[in-house]
Amino acid sequence: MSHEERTLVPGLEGTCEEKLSRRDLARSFRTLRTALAGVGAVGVGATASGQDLFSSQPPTESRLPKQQVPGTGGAKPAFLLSIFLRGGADGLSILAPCDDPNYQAARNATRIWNPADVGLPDPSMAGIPLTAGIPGLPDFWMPQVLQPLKDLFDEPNSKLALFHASGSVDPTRSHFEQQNQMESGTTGNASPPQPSGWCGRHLVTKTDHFIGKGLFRGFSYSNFLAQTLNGGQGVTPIPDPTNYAFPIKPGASQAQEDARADALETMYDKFGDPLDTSMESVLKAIAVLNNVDFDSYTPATGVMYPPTKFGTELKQAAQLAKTVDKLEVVQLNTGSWDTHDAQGVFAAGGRMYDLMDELAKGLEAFKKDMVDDGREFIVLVMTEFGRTLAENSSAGTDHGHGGVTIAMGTNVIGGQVYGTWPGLAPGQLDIGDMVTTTDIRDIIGEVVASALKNPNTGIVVPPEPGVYEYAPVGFMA
Amino acid sequence: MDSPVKSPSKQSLRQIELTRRTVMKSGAAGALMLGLSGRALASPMASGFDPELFLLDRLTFGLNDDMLSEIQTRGYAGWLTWQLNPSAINDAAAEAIVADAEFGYPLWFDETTGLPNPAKMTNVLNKTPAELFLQFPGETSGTTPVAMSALAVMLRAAYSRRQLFYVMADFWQNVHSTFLLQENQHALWMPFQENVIYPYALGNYANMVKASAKHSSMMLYLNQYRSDKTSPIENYARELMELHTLGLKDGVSVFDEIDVEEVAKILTGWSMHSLEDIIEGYPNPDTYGCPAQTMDLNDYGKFVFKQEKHLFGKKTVLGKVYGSNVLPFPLPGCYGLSEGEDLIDDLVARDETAEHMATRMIEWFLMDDPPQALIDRVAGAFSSSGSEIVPMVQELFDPTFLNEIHPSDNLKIRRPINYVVAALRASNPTIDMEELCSENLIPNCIAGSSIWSGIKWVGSSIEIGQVPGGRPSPDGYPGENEAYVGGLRARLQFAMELAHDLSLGLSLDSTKLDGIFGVATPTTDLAEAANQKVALGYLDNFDVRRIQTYINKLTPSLSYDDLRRECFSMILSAPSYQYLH
Repeated sequence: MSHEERTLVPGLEGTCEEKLSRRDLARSFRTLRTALAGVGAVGVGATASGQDLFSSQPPTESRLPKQQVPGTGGAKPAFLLSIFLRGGADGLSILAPCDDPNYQAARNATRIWNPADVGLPDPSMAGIPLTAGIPGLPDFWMPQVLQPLKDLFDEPNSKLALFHASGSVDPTRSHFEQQNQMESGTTGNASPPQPSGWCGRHLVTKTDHFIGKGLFRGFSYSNFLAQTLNGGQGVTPIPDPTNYAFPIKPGASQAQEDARADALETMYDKFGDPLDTSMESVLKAIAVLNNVDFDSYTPATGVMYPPTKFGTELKQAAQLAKTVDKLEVVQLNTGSWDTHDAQGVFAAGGRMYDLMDELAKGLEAFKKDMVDDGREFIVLVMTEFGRTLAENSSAGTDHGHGGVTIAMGTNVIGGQVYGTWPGLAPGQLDIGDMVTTTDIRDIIGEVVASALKNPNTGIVVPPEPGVYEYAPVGFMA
Repeated sequence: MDSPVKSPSKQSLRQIELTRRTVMKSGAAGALMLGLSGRALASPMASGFDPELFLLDRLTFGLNDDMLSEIQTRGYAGWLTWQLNPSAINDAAAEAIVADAEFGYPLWFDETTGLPNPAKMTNVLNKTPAELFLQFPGETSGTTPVAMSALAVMLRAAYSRRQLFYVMADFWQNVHSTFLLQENQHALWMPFQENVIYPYALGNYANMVKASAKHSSMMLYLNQYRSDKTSPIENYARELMELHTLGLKDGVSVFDEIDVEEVAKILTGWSMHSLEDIIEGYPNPDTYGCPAQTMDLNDYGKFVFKQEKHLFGKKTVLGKVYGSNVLPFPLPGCYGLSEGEDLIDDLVARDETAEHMATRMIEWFLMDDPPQALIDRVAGAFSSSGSEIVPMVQELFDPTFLNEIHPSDNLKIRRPINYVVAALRASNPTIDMEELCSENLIPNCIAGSSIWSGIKWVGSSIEIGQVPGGRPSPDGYPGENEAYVGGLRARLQFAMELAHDLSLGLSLDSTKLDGIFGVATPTTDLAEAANQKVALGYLDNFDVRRIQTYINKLTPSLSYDDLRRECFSMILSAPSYQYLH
């Protein structure tokens, strides 16, 4: 069914009675959980042995086979930059329907104004116009801090697509549940919390670029591997790729270094998973990153990354995307966007202002840096939920439901706000919050199927019989 | 009584199984190990399982000679009983080390002169939030108490004889987790440990939750103190149910979003004497709260029930009604507070809480995906004792049930804090606090790239993935293994730096190396010697042999001490060492 026809799945409105049926569904999908639990942190033998990930028995071969189907090498795989805005970014402060009377009534310190409106309290609260006169959508403005995003949106052959009222269809307002659901590419309905991530499952089902032993296919900028990548081959957390050397006493001879590496590799190989694959990824990542000169990297002309940790990570990701062909995914986090009080939308130093500032400038820089490189890229920005329509008494907002998602990439049909506008009138909300009309799984699935050329959407964003099945939104060329 | 080592079947639960090691240690008392009830221990596994090492690995931060000697003298059950009464254990030596770390070395630098300021040098222990805040008012100066707070916890983990107590404190710190690096937590986090975690870590859980709910660190962290009747804030209300009591089962909660809203309403008015109250002036600046009292800056962080902010009226949570639509007149000063206190009692008393806490405890200490029968036993101990924690620990580590909980099929990874501290406990390095902040490192001590760079071995723990108070989200560090398999490079890096004296402030000399390997141990026996030291010989045979092969290869080109350092480093890097016994 097309995304316009899709409605909220019945039974998910969150009352106690409806939760009973959800629990029943959860039990009936426990086999799915068991099967996927075998994917674990370090990959699964499912593809190589032909075993169905959805079989009722957990995979017997949980260890990643050494010899993969050899790939042809071929063209570089498209590069994925996965960005998670942690904490729940307020979608209505990113894409604001300034003329909607429900929005106007609900917001105060965080309200973005149509500049033509009488009563504009302060020039900083005037929005910059993004879209107008699109049938089925209200006119949208952005806060001034997002000018770089508007520029990306407005340019001819734009690569920036925006989705409002998007995210998880599960109404939970819990950070952890939602992050788990979105990173795992499932919902609470389909199965209990999943250890594996959608991108992890993408990596294990797309191995045609794999050649040889030892993989470094992706990493997350963190001390813990982001759940998005869980289950993937050749993934490891790397807090700082500029400081990722082989651990050995400085001054040791090459012979000793080789002997040490060999000893470690042998022990971990014998011991087995989950540490074995982790060690292989680590050793490969060390080898790759040691050959990268981060200090001497010059971005494309005119590109200025924001001078923050996030900006630096974006720059490094761009450099790696250009120079490490087999590196396929980098996952970053920003936040916290969890602005329960003093949301701060309009002035530098405000919590959301500063986050939006680095996000907008960072995405602009990354796009300009990558666009002329030969490698295809796709950026996916998501957050666990949007926030309440109504502002609270602390000039902040609380956990909501539908939020904003951003996609930017070589083959993105940009310059559009995708999705069905659900409206903000009382009868159109879910306990006071804007609902979700575009399932994040459809966005993820289209990124994987189209940008990453992996047709296994049935595994990456698994279907829920009678309830959900992937269908593209239509934002990719 | 002879007990040849043999492989028991799983059915022969009563079979007495002894390893060679246990026979040697038990001595004249005989080959029987006795459970808490005096029954013979059922030891389930083939040779390769040592119940005492198991207990030390799980309930201490790492094997050391002292605890090994104690358990050999007292036995499994005796050691457990001894450790479950921490106040009877003399911990003066550890506290002296901690106090010395705090007092002896200036880590606070005057922001104007840039020089160490001994007049401001103080510890962060046993202080009120007001005292800490007044001592370290600025964001830069806050880095000192932040670093000191985490360091105090890590030093106690390394040196305290009340190992089980601090291990349990570590567990509860993660259940009631607040973020040490949040603004102003430098004045609140350590008081939270001292007033919420330490008093109840082996006490009554309902009391812990109530203390947690009312403490400034949690109030600030989850925005509770600003929640009022015009706009109740749901943040703490949600986590009270989701993280601190009922939890989720298979991703589904027994409470729903309406319950969260109702709990938020019940807790309106639960607040503290905040910086805003002090700075901006509170509506009733002289006398307010419950019980009514005058408050000033010295009362920063104290719990206050701000009755005028409380939303009165009936609220329903999980089918139970709190509050009333009929109010007494005049309104007594503390009226309305009991709604929240009753709510917490009710939440803690629910079966879901018992199951949730039991599940978390089992996952943290023993295994991912615990079997329902084990959860039920531990939850039962919680419920039948009225939410007491000690019965849970006793149930969990009851040696009668070692079959059920033995980890051979249920590996439990050494978490980063445990990994770093265990290495310290095994090697007993000299900690040179002065070197941590020498002149050359002064910029690092203030800020630099990381406030931890002045306490490198604590920083290593962060890189591996964990530090006290270091979890930004309230769910605390995960219990599952897979969360920690990614930090391998950082583990190996730390092991290498510790062994080769590259870890700032930690050093091993020849005598320390003798303490690890024994005196004049032949180079061909070094790997096994280290294996005995860190794991009583139970590391994977392949790891030990492979490391010895590596050492043999290096022997011609390295000095004896360098060989020992490299061997120790590799033993700590071995895959089997990453898991607890």
